[in-house]
Amino acid sequence: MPDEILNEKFSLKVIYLLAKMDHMSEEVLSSFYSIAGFKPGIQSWISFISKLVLSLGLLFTVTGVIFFFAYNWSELHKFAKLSIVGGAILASTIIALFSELNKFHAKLSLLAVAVFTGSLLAVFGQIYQTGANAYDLFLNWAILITGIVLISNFKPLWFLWLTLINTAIILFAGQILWRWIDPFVFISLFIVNTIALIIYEYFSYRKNPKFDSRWLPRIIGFAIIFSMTVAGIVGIITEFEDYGHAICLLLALGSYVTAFFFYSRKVYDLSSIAVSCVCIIAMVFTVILKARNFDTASIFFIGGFIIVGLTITSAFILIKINKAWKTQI
Amino acid sequence: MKPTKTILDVFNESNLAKDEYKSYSSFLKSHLLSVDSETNVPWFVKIITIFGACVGSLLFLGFLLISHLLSSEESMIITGSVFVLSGIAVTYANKRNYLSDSLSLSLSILGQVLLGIGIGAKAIEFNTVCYAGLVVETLIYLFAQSYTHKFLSVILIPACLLGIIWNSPIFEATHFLIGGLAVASVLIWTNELPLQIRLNKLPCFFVPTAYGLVLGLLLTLVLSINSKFFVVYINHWYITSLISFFSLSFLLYKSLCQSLGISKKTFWLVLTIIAILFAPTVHAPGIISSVLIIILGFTRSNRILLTLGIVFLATFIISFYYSLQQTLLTKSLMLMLTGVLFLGIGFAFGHLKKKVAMQ
Repeated sequence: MPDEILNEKFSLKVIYLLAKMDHMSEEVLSSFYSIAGFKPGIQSWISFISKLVLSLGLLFTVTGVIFFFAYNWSELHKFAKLSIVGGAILASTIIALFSELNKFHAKLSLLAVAVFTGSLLAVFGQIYQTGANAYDLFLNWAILITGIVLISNFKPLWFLWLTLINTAIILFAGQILWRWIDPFVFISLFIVNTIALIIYEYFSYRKNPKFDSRWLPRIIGFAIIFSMTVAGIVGIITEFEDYGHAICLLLALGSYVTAFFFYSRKVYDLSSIAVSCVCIIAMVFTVILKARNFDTASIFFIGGFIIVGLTITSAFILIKINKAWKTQI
Repeated sequence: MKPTKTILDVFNESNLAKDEYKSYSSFLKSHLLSVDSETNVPWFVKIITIFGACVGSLLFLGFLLISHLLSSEESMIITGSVFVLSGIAVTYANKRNYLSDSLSLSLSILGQVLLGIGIGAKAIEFNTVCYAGLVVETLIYLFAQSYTHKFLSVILIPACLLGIIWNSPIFEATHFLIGGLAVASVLIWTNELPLQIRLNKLPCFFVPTAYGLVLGLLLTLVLSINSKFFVVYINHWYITSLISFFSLSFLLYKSLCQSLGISKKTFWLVLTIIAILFAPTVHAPGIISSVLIIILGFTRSNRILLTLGIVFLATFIISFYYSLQQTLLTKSLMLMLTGVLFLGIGFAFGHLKKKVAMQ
């Protein structure tokens, strides 16, 4: 048995395993628990409460400002409206300017600046009725906050920026090209999100500590795999009337293969592989539905077997990958 | 929150004797690599198992109903019971190979639904279905040898109790059910280590029960969001809020006074601040209960609890402000004031952190 296994992180899973040992005492387990850092000290408590309360404060304040303008009261002069949002941007910027950027409150201030920038654009459009399309707002918003996003190294800000770009693309396709639900919109989103994911995973693979967190690439990965699967399934059902759906299906299959390869061999992350498994189950099920010409009774009977069978296979593959990864470390 | 030390670091810092070190490390080496250890199964696998089992069993159910294979109530009850028992039996047969978890769970879910429909059609009264559900879920919880079976049972037992309460004249007992879940969640998590040791011969009990209780609590609290939607009109939500507040107080007492040794005076001050902050949300018990789960997640360094708490807190806060019978202007002013208050407290804590760090 390799000694390297002891270099694995001392996670809660290790505690759960040790608890299963015969003659394990509560004192020994408690001491492991404390030494591993699971028992928060006074410093951790203060830091946690400070972060929680600041995040809630920002959430409430920003929502309050948005509700304030949603009220759209006519008594307030247009300059007053602009000044309120401008003041909020200024206040948040001052806090960020006079703080170290790696501090949590500075990052939250930058997030507030980014959100208030959107409010300012919305209020401006509301007052002057510029006639711009909604996609203009989201695109300009994304462009204006790009600098803040780049300097912040704050994942929620990157998430906001990517959401804005995605929304702008969807609205552009709908409002300008009149193609709301179109495979090429899905493909455009696929390209944007894949580029973002590749950049993130490149730095993550090179062990850059700034790219250590996994929630952002997971969400992007889910979005890519899920959207391509939906478009591919639509293609199967409509018998690929639009060739764009065939491209989506190919991209979906490519995403599954890439997810399996990359997340089992390069960066260990079972979540994207698990999502791929669920999407493959959905895809196979759709193919069978189509092949059986939607014959109800047989679909229910065969479908049940297929779903359970594929679920067992998926679980087997995921456990195999998990084990293979563990023996590698 | 995120583990930073390796197993080796922790063992070295624990100053273990040579034979202790040897026994712990060899135990971990053999178990961390073992595929048949339930602890080693990633949670994604469990999610996929539950998902596949639910969809698969619903499809089978659709087939049984469409093909009229089960036309009488008795046949549904008998087939349902057979499926439930088979589901439990498969967990025994595959104790060390949970790959068939999906199959056993499908059988179990299918059996439970058939039993529910059969008993419901025979007895007409919904109460009977709930009582039968309670018995079946308790049996599954006690006898099934699988995390997922027990986890679903822990969530479904309060659901059956809720059904019984709603079919009785004492609607308000709902508060005590939710309160009971809050108290149980705190007690089970604060006694995590001793329970894990005491239940080491029954490895499938602690994890599904502890997580099931928390999820059961949060899901039941969704009822407090909009009574019109759920038809049942429950009043006096402050009772649930109070029970959750007392559970939070107990948790803070254990964590701050007993573990960290802070003074009683500071503890009471903290409680008073919390009481003042959450007083306006006394009729929205989901908020204080989600905070309870967040604190629980933090004290146990458990990211799943923390994430659950944050997701439900956001949901309950949004619903709270949405349901306020005020104009958008008043709501916005309330939100901004609360926001500024929280920001102020946050910055005060920031200064406190600096002070503590300097000391």
